[in-house]
Amino acid sequence: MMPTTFTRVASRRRALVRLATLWLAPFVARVAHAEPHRRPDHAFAQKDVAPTLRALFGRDDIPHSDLIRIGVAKLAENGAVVPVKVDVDLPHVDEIALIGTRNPVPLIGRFSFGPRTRPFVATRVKLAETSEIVAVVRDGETLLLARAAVEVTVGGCG
Amino acid sequence: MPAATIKIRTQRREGALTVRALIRHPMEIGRKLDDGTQLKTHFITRVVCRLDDDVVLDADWGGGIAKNPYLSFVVDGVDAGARLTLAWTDNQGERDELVVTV
Repeated sequence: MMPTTFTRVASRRRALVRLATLWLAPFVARVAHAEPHRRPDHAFAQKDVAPTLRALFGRDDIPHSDLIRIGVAKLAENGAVVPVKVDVDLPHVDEIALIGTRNPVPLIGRFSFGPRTRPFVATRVKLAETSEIVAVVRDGETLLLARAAVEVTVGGCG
Repeated sequence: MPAATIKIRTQRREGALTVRALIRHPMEIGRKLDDGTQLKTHFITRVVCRLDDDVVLDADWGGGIAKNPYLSFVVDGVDAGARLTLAWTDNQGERDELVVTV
């Protein structure tokens, strides 16, 4: 009696496991195929603009482009809250990175866009002192950059 | 997570969805206060926005994003009734998520 029940339970368990494996397979495959997200920790660890660019994009000789428009006030009274928007005259871009040239950590953020998302982002950043905001745009292998000078009255080293 | 930290406003015009989000978060980079108190770093490191199942914006942030972050972006070809999700995670492992119907 006992062994029979055991065998039956065991085989039922095996069947369940097999069923679960089949059922989960498509999900596992999908996860495996998706590119894993990796935070650019190395870029956030840099203290200057050029190494930040190299850490993010592998190079720092990125050409300037008028296709990128940085919307930011020339004079920021409070460096702790500086509204910034970046708009790119291209149908689509893969990502926009924002850099504060004299911030203790220059890399402010990197924004990656889905296929339907317009090449635009607006946010509020901190600027430690009078400096520049650099916006770097990547679309595939193409890299473009723009700069905007901001005079900061009270530093936002917050 | 105690009270809701995320507020989202959306506006859809001819299929183009404008998203404006506000997140309540200290975004502290570990300053030393005047009285000598050392604050712990506490900032959002990642924000992921989805429309239904598609990732529309995936952001890596540092402490250079201002306190109580504001984020706005625009997505084309969005149907009414789509579900917009915004989820953030910070360097202390806290997280929050909000789902709104467009």
